[in-house]
This record gives sequence, C-alpha cells and structure tokens, in this order.
Amino acid sequence: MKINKFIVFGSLIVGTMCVSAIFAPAISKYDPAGVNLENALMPPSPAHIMGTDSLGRDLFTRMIYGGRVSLSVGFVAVGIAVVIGLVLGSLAGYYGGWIDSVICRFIDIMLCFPAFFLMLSVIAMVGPNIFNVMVVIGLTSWTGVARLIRAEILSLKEREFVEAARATGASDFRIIVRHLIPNGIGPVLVSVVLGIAGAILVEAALSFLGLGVQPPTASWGNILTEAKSTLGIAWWITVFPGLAILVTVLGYNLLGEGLRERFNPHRKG
Amino acid sequence: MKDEPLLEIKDLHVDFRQDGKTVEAVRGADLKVLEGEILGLVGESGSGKSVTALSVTRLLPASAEIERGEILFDGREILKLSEEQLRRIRGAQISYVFQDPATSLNPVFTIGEQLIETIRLHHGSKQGDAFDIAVDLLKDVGMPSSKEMMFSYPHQLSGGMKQRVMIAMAVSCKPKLLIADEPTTALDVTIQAQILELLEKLREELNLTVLLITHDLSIVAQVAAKTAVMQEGKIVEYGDTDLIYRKPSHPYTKKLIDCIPKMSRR
Repeated sequence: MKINKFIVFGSLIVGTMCVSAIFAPAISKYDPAGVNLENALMPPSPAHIMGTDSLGRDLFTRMIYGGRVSLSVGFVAVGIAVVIGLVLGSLAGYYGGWIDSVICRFIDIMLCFPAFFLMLSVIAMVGPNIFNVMVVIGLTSWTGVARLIRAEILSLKEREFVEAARATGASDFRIIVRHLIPNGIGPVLVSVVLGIAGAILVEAALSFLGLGVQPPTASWGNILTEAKSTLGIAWWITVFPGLAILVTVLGYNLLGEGLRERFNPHRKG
Repeated sequence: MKDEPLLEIKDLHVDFRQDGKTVEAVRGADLKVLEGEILGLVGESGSGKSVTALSVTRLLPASAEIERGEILFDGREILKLSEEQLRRIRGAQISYVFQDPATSLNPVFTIGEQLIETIRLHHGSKQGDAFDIAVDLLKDVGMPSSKEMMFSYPHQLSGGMKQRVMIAMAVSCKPKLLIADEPTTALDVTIQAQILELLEKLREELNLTVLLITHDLSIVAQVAAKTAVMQEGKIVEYGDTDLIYRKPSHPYTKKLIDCIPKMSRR
C-alpha cells in the first residue's frame, strides 16, 4: 500500500495539536490566567517563547490551553452533527417514501439559512459560552453528513447482502446499524475530518466576535480579539494564534483530503 | 421421512405493480414440499420461481404484492403472521441461499463476524460459544482450515468457498426448510457438483428439507427426489424426478429436457 503524504502530514499536525492540548499543564509551567503586569508585552524570549500579552500572561501557555478549547469544540460539535446526520440520513435513505421527503425538505430548509448568521443570532439569544457554541455548531452542520449517508444507503440497500441479512431474520435496525452504515461510512469519515476544521474556524470566528468562549478562558479567537488593540506594538500576539488556526485547519484538511484519496473508488492502482 | 408436507403453497398469486401497470409474476402456483426431501423447482428466467420462493417468508420487494393464495409452513399460515413473527421464522426455521455468493456477504466484516452474528441473532448464545459453533459449521460445510477462515474477509475467498459460507450461515440455526435459489448458477461445473453434494449431505445429517430452485434440469436430476416445473407463473408439472425425466408429460418440460446437451447425440 502506498503511503499517502497528505495523511502523514495531516496526522502529524493533528496529533501534535492534540498531544499539546491534552498535556497542556505538563508542557507549560505558567498559569494561562496568571496576570503579571511587570512582564506585559514582552517579545518572544527563552523564558516566554511566544512572548507575553498586554496583561503579562505567557502567550505560549494561553495558546496550548486555547488549543484545548478549539479541539474540544471541533470534536464535540462534529460529534453532535454526525449523530444527527447518521440517524436522519439513514432513516431517509432506508425507508424512502414520505419519510425521505420530509427529511430531505428539512435539510433543504436548513441549507437555505446562512449558517454563520443563524449561529450568531442563536448564540446572541442563548448566551455565549463554550457549551452553547458546541451545540449550535453541531445543530447547524449535520446536513452534509445526512445527505452523504442517505446517498450511500440508497445504493447499498439494493445490494444482495442486505436481502441475505433480511432472510436470516435481521430487523430493520440491525440491517441499518450492522450492514448499511459500516459499508457507507467512508465518505462520512472524510466529511467528519473536514468538518472538524470547519468547526474550529467557526469557533475562532465566534470567539473573535465576542460570542464564543469568554475571557479569561483562552481561545485562539479571543486571544486575537485582545491582540487587535496592540497590533502595532506587539506583532507576536496576533501572529501566533493566527498561525495556530491556520496550521490546525490545514492539518485537518490535509488529513481529510488524504482520506478522500484513499476511499476514492476511482483512484488508480 | 414423513409423508405430510412441510411447506404447502396453494393457488398463490403475486403481482408486481409499477407506474400503474400490473404484471402477474405468479398466477396460481400450487406446490407441496415433503419433510426431508429435496424438491427441484425448474423453469426459465421470469417464470416466477424466485418470486414464489421469496413469498414463502414474504421477502418480496415493495412493488410486489401477494394477491391471494395460501402458504402453509409447518401448519402455520405465513400470510397471516405479523412481520415480527416472520422475522423469527426467517433464518431460524426457513433460511435462504442466494444465487451470487460474491454479493450476498457483507464486504466489510469477516466470515466469522457474520456467522457469529447470525448464530447469536437467533440463539442469543455467548460470543465464545458462538465462535465454536461457527468453526464447527465451517468444518461441516467442508471448509479447509476453518479456524483461520473465521478471520478472512469475503473478498479473500473463492466463489465456491463463499457459497459454502452462505450455506453454513443458512443452516447455522438448524432450519427446517432451506430455500436455495440458484445456488450453483454463479459457480463453475466442478464446484457446482461439490455444492450439490454438500446440500445432499446436509439434508441427510440435519434432516433438512430443501427447495432447490434452478433453471438447469440436469442439476435437479442429480439431487432432487421430486421436481416441479414452472412456466409463466404456474406449476405445469409435478412428480418424481425420474418419472418426469423419462416421461415428461407437458410439452414445456420436454423442451427443457431437450435443452440439456448430451454427449452421445451429435
């Protein structure tokens, strides 16, 4: 089997980000919320490898703690989206008829809303915190998963092994869960990985606008907001979170592209 | 061998509806399958053999409808059972072997996983017990190195081996009736003979009743005690295979027999 470079680079980036987020307290000796005004706006140095912000907090520490927020939002939001998408998509694909029509029209309606503004208004109503951000992103991004699994199941359910399973007395639920979803999960996995990148971007954008994770909890988005005011004198506070978002999203996208390549039935060789 | 039918089909009518048009696939089929025998159901494509077979556990596609008739299995009226009751009969008392073993197995699970699933579905036995039962089953259907086979995926097996797995799966719950719908059509001739031998062996060992569906009269002649010939949705001839083979009474049966190439006649 040929090694796919996209998958290797993607996994390396994603893996590094995950490890640094999980072991954040062990990696940095500073407190992410530890204010030290004497050290405010220090440029990168051996003591503070990414410098400090306007309140003298160590930027590197805030970055890796912010990574925790970004990654957990990514995973949980996409997790919610996958559960909703798989359930509705399989029901629509398997049963067809009016169930399919209702679910598909519902998906069409969801797709009509500009998702980001829908999220903004919902967050404005329910209040900004990390939990709401996860739920809102999850509730607005399941349509892709639903349509993918529906399409897969539409073709898979005509295959003979499904009839064979029914002939051995398998129930509809068992056929969907044990036979159809495992066969059609490939494209969904790809969209899940790409979806995590999307969710991280949305979380950063929401936090930047002040509707996401609230200070003093660090997130890449709200570090950027605070960096805005000192952009002229402290470049590092803007550059590092920006880079972190860029590299992480790039990592997930590479991984997603690589997986797409692997699952593509038309690929050569 | 008892002389009462395990399966009795009376005046079965099945219609297919599509775009407002109705096609009658089965028009009044009558059939008796006695316990412990192999009955060969022969006919050309589209004669309604498979539809009749699928009707036995109401596995028909949504576009088909059983218009009227009666199906008695082991004294129970199939057409009056609920979907839930039918599910308990499927696989446990009536099981199927389909034509193409290549597409009848789920490609993403190992042979073992699929066998174990079927066994546990009806017996609720423990994982470990089910594993041992599955290995024994694979041995029974003549799979070499059956333990290793448990961890193989369908694409790693040949067509004949896959069909053996399908048969193992079909008999895993000790059904009374096995419906084999063209079980040898996708296989080459030597493998065909082996699979037919296997069916005959299982019939003896498990006191299995087999409804063997095929378009090939020579296959029926090899294993089936009785033969039913189907044409355009009706059973046109029914009786002992030897008799039908030697003295076909219906012109259609004669034509079918003439279709078998013979070595002697050139």
